[in-house]
Amino acid sequence: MVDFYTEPGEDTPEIELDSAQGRFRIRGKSFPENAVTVFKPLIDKLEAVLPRLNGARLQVDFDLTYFNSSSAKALMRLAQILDDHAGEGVAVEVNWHYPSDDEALQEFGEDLAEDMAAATFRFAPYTHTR
Amino acid sequence: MDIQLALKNKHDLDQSNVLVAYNGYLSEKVLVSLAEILRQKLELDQFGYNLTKRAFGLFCEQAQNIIRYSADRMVVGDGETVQYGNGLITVGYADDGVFVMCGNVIDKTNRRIVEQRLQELQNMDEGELRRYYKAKLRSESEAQSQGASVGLIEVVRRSTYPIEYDFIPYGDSTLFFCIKAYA
Repeated sequence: MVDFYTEPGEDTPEIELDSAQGRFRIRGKSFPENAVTVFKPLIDKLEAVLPRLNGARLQVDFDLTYFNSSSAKALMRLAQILDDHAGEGVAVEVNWHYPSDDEALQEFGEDLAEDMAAATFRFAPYTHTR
Repeated sequence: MDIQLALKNKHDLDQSNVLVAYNGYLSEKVLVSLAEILRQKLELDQFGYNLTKRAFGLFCEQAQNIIRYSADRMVVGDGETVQYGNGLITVGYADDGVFVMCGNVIDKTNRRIVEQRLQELQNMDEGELRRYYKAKLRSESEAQSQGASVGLIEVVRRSTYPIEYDFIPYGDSTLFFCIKAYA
């Protein structure tokens, strides 16, 4: 059962949280003027679901091509929540997907990784098609 | 306004290599459409992935600042309200890239805090800006400023040349505040 799903919008990402499969994915672009409206329902759901995943694995895929500062704030908050639960027994494995020549995305991944000491954090650069 | 003046405005903008110009009340929806046109045009111009993305990002952050902080506002609707901020957006070709210039009116009383913040940011090097940005993202509640300072940090950080800004008298109690950044 999928716990949480939102379709991608013009300025919002596709989000899927499936605790039964141990998968959580955010993909696309995220630049709504107020990212709280997009991320608050997700954060509430995550906080409800994560305690039940103690001892289990959660694969997290951040696969974003662009996000604004408001969304960056929300991502930082997500990382903190995930890491808190990683510390309490959820095996959190993060994949940070980014175009290999996108320094800004790579740097933000590094900044997130610093805050996710209890999780496994893997950089997953890809060559983009253009 | 007569047609001749409108045409003169267009002529002046074209002469200044302006790609997108928008003046008036701005909503998130309009912002998204303009950002998409800008992205497509810069891709067609073959500016490359990184410059196009930087311009897109500078445009979004600056235009969102107009929606949030312009002192000239329009709020419409009941239940789900739509916020419009009045401002001026100009995006155009610079010597070796693109400039993004956005401005809006602010109350005179806000000048000191905004100017002080910009000066602090301009005195930081790349590493300091990166650490400061992260620290600001982590500081939980900035409810009042809706993350304004993080948007400004991002603009200063991503601009390939130092940003330029000005506060120009505009009305009795307001100033026109404008930032020009480069991608």
